[in-house]
Amino acid sequence: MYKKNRTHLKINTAISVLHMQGESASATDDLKSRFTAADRQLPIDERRKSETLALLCRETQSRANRPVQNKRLLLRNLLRYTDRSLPGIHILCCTALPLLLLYAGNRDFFGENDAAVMVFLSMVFPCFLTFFSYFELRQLCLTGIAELGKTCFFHAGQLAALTMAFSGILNLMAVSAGIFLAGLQWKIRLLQLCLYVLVPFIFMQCLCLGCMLTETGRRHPWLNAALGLTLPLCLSSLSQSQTAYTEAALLVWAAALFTGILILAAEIRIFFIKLEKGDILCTE
Amino acid sequence: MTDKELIRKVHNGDKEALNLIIAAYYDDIYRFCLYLTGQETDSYDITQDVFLRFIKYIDSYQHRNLKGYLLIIARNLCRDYFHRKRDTACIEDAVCLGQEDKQLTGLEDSLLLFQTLQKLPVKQREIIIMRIYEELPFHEIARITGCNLSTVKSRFRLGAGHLRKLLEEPFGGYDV
Repeated sequence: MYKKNRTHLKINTAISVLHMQGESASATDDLKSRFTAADRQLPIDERRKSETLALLCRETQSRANRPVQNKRLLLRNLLRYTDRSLPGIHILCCTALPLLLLYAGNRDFFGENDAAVMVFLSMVFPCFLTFFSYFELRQLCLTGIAELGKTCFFHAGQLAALTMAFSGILNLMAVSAGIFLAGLQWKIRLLQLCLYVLVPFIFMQCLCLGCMLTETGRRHPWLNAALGLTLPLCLSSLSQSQTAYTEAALLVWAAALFTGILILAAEIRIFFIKLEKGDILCTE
Repeated sequence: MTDKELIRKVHNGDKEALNLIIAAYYDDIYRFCLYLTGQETDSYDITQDVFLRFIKYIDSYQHRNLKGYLLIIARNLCRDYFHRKRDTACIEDAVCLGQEDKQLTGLEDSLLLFQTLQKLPVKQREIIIMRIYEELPFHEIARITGCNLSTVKSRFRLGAGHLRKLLEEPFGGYDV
């Protein structure tokens, strides 16, 4: 009985929806016919139309005559004229990570806890590198990138992508070298160490980019720095736990890495959409 | 020829492709501006600006629907036009279309529609024109106007009801 009533109700709803659609279509038809009648009484001025076409042809011609440098030359000029101090410090920091690990490994700094401390450091150091990368990106976005885009033919998105790719590759190289050296030195399985290092690294990226996406975060770089301090603190409390670094917990680490990558991908997409719309460039 | 091919040809400086774009979209864009602003001469100027802006920013064109893209530019330019007008003229100026314009004099049906359209708020008017005249689906109108779907539908419902009511009144609700 209940089923029958429901079917009846569904049929009635469908009929009323069709009725409404038909009704609105006929009402719209009436208005549409008024527009069509008005259209017939309003011929287009062909002279204005051909004037517009001629103007467009001239504009296209002038665009074609504009000198365009090839992309390699543009890239070379861009590298020549951009400020190299921040990327320089970044490169130095990236080289310092593997060197620090090598040095600590040879000197046996922390005695019995050497491996645990160095694993912790190799987790914290990439977080610092990430913070640095986003500081570079922030500097790029807030210091006339749009104007630069107008002059050197690379638009804001391309310049931001270039900066992100450059600092991302640098960070990954440093992190990979760190993982490799720490793994070799303290006989830790590389895959396991990869997870331990990449999870905080990716989550730090998410936090910093998330910060960049908000207007308050863009205005106050110290927010990024605060985040840069918070994550290592969380990591140090995590390192106190006995179960966090067992083999049984590896699946959780892998899941965290996967989630982090998904969040980061979504944030990068939002970042470029916002950049394209001008939201990020227009921060006071 | 698809819009994508047309854009590619315009990129390469093909004048024939420009001709095709003008032939395909000029009338629609002009009439959209005309119904929205109610001013014939200004609508020609705005339409010209629409196509000039399209050419100027053609490198960043990423839309799948060229007409939708041109309508976005047209809508924004009409908005600018209203902002400029707000300081210099009162709303009656727009309603007086046809009295100064030689081409429109005596065209009672179209004049009545224009005058009645101008009585609607701009937000409702643009949606009415896009939905009824341009026959765009609601989701496309939502994308063009940057509003959500339910807002567009409610503005359309209110606008259509208001327009129908005004059109049923003698002389579109104007005293003659």
